[in-house]
Amino acid sequence: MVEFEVPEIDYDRYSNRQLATPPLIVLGVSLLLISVYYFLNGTPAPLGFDFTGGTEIRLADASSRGAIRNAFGQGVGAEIESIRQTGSGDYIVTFLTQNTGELQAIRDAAGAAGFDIQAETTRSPAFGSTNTQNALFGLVIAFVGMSALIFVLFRSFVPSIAVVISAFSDIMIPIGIVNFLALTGLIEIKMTLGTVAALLMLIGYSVDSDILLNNHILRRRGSFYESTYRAMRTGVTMTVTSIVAMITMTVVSSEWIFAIDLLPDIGLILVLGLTADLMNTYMLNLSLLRWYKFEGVAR
Amino acid sequence: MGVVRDNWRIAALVVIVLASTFALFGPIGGGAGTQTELVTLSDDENTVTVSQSTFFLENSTVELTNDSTNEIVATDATIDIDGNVSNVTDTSAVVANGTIDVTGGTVRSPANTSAINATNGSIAVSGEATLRTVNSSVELSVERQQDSGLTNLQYGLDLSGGTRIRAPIVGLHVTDLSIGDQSQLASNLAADLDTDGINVQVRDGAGTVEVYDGGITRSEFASALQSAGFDIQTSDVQTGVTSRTRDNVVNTLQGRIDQTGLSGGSVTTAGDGLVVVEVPNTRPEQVREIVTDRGVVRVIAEVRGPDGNATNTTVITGDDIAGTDPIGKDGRLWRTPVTLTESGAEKFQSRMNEIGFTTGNGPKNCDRDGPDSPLPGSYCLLTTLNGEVVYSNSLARSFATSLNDGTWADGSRKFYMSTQTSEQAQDIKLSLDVGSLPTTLNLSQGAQYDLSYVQPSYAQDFKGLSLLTGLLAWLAVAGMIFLRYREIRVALPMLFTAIAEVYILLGFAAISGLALDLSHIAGLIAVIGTGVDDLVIMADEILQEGDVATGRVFQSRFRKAFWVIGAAAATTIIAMSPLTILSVGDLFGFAVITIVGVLVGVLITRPAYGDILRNLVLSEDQR
Repeated sequence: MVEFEVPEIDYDRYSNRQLATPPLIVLGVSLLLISVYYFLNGTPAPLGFDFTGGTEIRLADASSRGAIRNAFGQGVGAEIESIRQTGSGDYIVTFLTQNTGELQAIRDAAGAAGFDIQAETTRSPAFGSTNTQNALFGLVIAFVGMSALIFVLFRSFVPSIAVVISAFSDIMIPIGIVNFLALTGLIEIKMTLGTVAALLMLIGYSVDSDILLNNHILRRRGSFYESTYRAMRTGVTMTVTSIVAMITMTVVSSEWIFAIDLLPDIGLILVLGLTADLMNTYMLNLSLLRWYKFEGVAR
Repeated sequence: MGVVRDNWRIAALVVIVLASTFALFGPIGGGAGTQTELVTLSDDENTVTVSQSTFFLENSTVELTNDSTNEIVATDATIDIDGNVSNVTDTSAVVANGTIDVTGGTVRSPANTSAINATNGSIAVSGEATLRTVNSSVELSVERQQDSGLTNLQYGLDLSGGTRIRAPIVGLHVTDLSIGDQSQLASNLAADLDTDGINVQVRDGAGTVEVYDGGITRSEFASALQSAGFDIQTSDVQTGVTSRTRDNVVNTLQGRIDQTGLSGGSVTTAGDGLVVVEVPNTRPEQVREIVTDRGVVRVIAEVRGPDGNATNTTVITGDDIAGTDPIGKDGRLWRTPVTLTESGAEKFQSRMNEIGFTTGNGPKNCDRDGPDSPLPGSYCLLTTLNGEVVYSNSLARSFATSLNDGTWADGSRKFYMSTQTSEQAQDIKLSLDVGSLPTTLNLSQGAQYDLSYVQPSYAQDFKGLSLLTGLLAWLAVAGMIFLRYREIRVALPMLFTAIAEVYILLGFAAISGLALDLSHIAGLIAVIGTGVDDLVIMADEILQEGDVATGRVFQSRFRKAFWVIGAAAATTIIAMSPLTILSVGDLFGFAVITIVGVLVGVLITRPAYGDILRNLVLSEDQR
């Protein structure tokens, strides 16, 4: 039987600099990717129709992509943005339009071609841009609120800022990965409302293990490495368990299996963010704490 | 008693789990709602059994052939309601104040039942009945007592199907004005802005002025107010309507949806002045019509002189009408009988006389198209719905006479509004019964709206699939926990505590009548994740090496673990709270479930798990 035991890492072998550099490089690259994407496209990440506006319909009884293109090609006048097939054989078609007349034309064309519209969502561009504004605003408020709380809890600068930087990196790395995939043309994962929920959730989720680590190192008796190992045993279990739960949710609810909306979007970002969190907590946060404990406090 | 006192946290958990069970399965719950489903009866599947249901027959109106019988006759089809209706006490099925819409067909009530009750566009069955069609296809919309199976849970659009529209209201408004002559200002503004008088609302008490015309810009409105003598800049003009108008829109829409027989529909407001309309089992184009039609019914007297120039006078508005009767057929035409109010009747009578409609060439002289009329000029009464003429007719001579001698307004004040189709007649009746919308929802290109529709059968699938997804995520967590602790005594209570959290949340949803959507399900799965995280913290802290020698050591470890859990919970609540205030799509539900879940965890389930662990590690005398 497989055993899940958190390994004890010999942190003595690495300097603080060696520990902090890789996560900072990953963060730097992520920020760079976000800037490049922003420079090229004017948005920080590929935005889905929740933010840009448009229409998404889910069709049953469609035989192929070609049949769909044919059905909506002539006379509908609405440009097809993408066609995706789900595991159950349905097709999800997105259009850039949200115009009433064109929507009705789409419905009529689907009916004429014998497709059954199972679901239909339309968002206006104005609604999308309000969503974008509110989502960004919400993320900033949540992040500032969380940071303030962390400073109140630990009341000293270095440990608090360590948590805040880790959390910031946890949020930026998934966006960086999404941008990397989009920029290299591998796969375009678009930001949805689920992504926003996941990023906010990440603010709450990812600081748990940081709080745990800080708490063990700063507020408990015992040597630094003893405390670290205890905190890691618990923290890694927590994070890995959450990652496994989220991988399960993402895979099962994905378009290839159950094809449920919202859940895979949330799951994917949480998986990426929590994985980044393992690195950030036990390399970046830890190195800052070690510096603070052995050198910072002594000053 | 000592046992209970020592384990009061477990006891509290048990009590709350029992309470949740009662909320979920008990008779009170949030009160089971109703759900609607569309049933098509045709050749092969020509029967449906309904119990405690209301069903709606679509598309055309059928009247009672005779007030004393309860048989409703139409051509083409027969719908029999077969017996088996319990509690038959009376000999008649009651049809009161209702039109029943049937797509061609007969509704034959069983002869001896009072359990079938038709009111106002629908037929309700309190017992069990079977509907059967003969030789035709009929689409029925059947509203049943919520058949949520085992639980009192209610499901939202994502999981039960239907249409949701979220949109702002068309309008601009200015507040804090000191207004002199209210009606004078209103008519001046309407003239200045070149819009219908019903698009301007002035409230002198509240000091507000609103316009409800999507074609008027903020600067146009500001300059019209400036010409009316107000010191108003474009920046003082706010988009949207006052809260009073918004309440009016919400109530009218709710009434309209209820009256249309689209049961279970709800109209609420969200942040940013948006109105959210959710209607189960209805196509988006239908709901779009409901929220964008003003429902303004007016009768206009069109007088065309010999020179061909027409003068229009509004002689009856919705405000002049006291009530309506069921629509009916009059020869080729459909008509909606209405009764005018006393003042409305007086006004109608005097206006008709003033414009010379009731004498001379007025009666029996309607010719909208032109010069073919035998008499010079043309006098037409136009029935309009939302500004469109649905029918025009002349004034009958006898009617003209009674108006002219002033006796009509003292009589029954009955008036018939004629239309070509039953739909129009029904629309007019509905608009008059519910009242017109002061303004509509804004679904124009630049507006901030969204619309979603999920087919009911497909949404039903989501219910099971998302439950299964949650279950699989929980199993994955369970697997990890077993691998990590390898001790059933620690892992099993942990998993049960985690699932208890979800169970309590579902109980909360049932008792608060929260309609579950995918965002709530996502929140529930997130709660499993955070919940287990915190239980791992507890277990590791309390079970750490070195025995928990005494109750005091346990207490200290419990407190330490709780500090971390409390801090983590606080960060999650802070992170989620923006979503409860800002409107970001449908994420409100996600945030609410996560926040309530964290609170339930910190206050109830996680402390109880601490007690369970203590029982595991402390022997009797150490406590």
